[in-house]
Amino acid sequence: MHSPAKRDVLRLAKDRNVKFVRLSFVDVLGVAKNVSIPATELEAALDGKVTFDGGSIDGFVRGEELDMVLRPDPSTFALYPWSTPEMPEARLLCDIAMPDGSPFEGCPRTTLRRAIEEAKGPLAGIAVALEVEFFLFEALDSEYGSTKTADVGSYFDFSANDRGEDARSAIVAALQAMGVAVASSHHEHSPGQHEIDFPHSDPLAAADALLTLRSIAKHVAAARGLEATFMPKPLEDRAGSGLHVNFRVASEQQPEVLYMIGGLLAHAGALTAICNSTVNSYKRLVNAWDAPIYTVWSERSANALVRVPRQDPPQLEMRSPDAAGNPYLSLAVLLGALTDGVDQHRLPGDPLTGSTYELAERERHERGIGTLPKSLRQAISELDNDPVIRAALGDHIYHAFRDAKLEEYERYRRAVHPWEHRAYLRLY
Amino acid sequence: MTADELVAFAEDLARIAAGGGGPKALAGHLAKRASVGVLVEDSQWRHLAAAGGTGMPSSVQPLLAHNATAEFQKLRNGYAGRTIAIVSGDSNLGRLSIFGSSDLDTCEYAARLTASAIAVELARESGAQPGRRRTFWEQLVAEAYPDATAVRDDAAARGIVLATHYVAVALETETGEPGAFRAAALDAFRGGEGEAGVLERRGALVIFVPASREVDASNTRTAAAMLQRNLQKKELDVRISGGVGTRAPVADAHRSLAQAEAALTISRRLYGPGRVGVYEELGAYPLLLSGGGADTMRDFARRILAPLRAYDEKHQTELERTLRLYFSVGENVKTAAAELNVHRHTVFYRLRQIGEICGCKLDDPGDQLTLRMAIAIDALTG
Repeated sequence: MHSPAKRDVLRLAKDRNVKFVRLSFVDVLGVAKNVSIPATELEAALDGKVTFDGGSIDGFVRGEELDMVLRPDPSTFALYPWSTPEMPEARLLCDIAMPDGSPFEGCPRTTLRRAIEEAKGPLAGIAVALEVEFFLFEALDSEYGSTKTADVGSYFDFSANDRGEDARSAIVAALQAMGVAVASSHHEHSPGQHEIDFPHSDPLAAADALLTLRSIAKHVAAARGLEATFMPKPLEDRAGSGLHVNFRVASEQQPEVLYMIGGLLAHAGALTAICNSTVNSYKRLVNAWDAPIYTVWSERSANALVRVPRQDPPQLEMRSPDAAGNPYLSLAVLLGALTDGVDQHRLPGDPLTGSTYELAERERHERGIGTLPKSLRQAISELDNDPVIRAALGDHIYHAFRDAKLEEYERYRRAVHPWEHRAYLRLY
Repeated sequence: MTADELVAFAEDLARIAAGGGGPKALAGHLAKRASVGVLVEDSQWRHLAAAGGTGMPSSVQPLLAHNATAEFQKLRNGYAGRTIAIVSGDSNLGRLSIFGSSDLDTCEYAARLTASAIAVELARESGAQPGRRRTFWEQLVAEAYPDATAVRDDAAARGIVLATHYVAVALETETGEPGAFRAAALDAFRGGEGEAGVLERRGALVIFVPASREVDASNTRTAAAMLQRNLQKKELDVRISGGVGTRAPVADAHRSLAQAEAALTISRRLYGPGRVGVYEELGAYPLLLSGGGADTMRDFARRILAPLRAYDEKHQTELERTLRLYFSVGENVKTAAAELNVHRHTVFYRLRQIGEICGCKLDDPGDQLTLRMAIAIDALTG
């Protein structure tokens, strides 16, 4: 006996003559993975009978847990817009379960589900809207991709000669065709930089939307001779790409918003490890282009970590995350921080007016304002010392993520970068 | 009381004691839960605490306020009541008496639990630490220390870890029983590093919240604003009035307390119970409450207008002039715009800026009073 949702998926797949279905999931680092099945196996997949070798996926490796079960979420069924009538292809986003059917602690999507369940009281029913920034560069024949763009547009510009504008519209159209709602899109500050905004939804749907955008953007861009990248800071002298996360709570919870802000500020260091999870992320978090660098909140300042405009229903905008990380884990830890803030009645101090970049050290001390980690290594140390955020991740993901990121940081630390050649090669 | 109610009652007593509540707070809780009058005396029949008035003869009630224990004792002998010994080991520390309930047999169990809790408190006090701490804060409030060094030396001798600065909070209920919300209030006002001070004074619960950094003071003000709501969420049926003083060095904590008590008075009179007033946000009212000479008034005017003047100086704007003119032309934006030779939208923009910089609302009568008084005093004394 199938639930109505499963029946709907099977009927839809049959009506649209779907040939293949990609069962998608993410690893601990947020990289999308998938197993493609013929449509004839869809019913079995919906019954949780499709397994995969978890031993080869980052963060899943534990000898006794190799055969993982994929648990498709029927609500995420969507046809890829580029499918041809001859070869319609659909996707389903999946949770990961243990062979005995119990939830897998290393599944990021399950981790977010748990965080949502634990977000009670004033956080029950919290809605999330994402503002996602990314670059569209010319696709050139180079090993690592290019950062070249013919675009000269800036914030909210309409750049008629830019293929990026067309590509962004095509991305939005593709998202809508897949049932992912889009609130708006516009050109961002830097040439080649764009933003797509999702409307408020439940946190799981928001993370699913970001995951979908990342794959759609790359596909649509490639079809137009472009490359889409969500790398946080591809250009040294231009603004980086962030992921602004807006939380909307019910009007009657207005006073509790202060506790939520307090939670985000109190755990900002550890949050950074998850929400800014690449070594490149920390090149965006500098005192320029309105990137946040201090644990401060404001009603209006564009470079505060948390922006809380006066409006009803109240909204909190967390401005430090970037879209290169694992969206499920990012939202899970953010919800964990919000929950802790409410539970512990954490207060955030007064809001800041003006630019945070002008804060003197003494003023920061008096106002209890901390500094965001300046490197991935520092952020991981903050994570190590934050039991609340570690608990939001769960032991399995915490250790898997930590191991993977420490190794990534070590590889980065050992690498000799072009800047070092420029600075030292001839000087010494 | 049922067995479950008694267990809950005992847990409440433990919470009150853990939150620093003394005999008065514990007696207050018994009085409230059992609807009885409660008197606590030490082994020498000296008054320690009294609470509640339910069922007491009308001739007794006024005596509670005046601690007229001797007269109270005489009356008690002829009135329906129960007296329970407060005992610690072999020592008789005093006695707890209850009055006025129609079912004193039932209340006696709760009274015995309360007497036991008070015994623990009294025994602990005779061990000196809480009493020594309380004495320190009492002396600080009484300005008994000659200088800051003496404050710190005495605190160290008593094992008190002081913060550099404190913010005083004064809280009271309509019933005058701070014990009912003591633990919740202490939980709400955590402050920064350092030890909090707690006193009961003039029927109010006084908390000296450690505030070594400005953010601690800011959070204390916010916690004050949220206190009533949080008490309700904890299903504590009390309406509190309160006041929060400004952040002061520990040696000047008595000034913060005076401000907190003034803010409490103003808040209660202006808004009624259920509000905690913050001295810094009460504008002209503290000045109106306590008056002051020319220096006090000049300081007030300077303090209120300082943010505007600093902004004008830094940004070469004329916000202060705009505000003066706006008031002088009867808040007529069109006339003010003509006088300033700017568009009226510019006047609106400036008024919004003034509100943000001064942290006030120009359409709020209280805020207007403050600004108008500051401008008037400045004109007279400037």
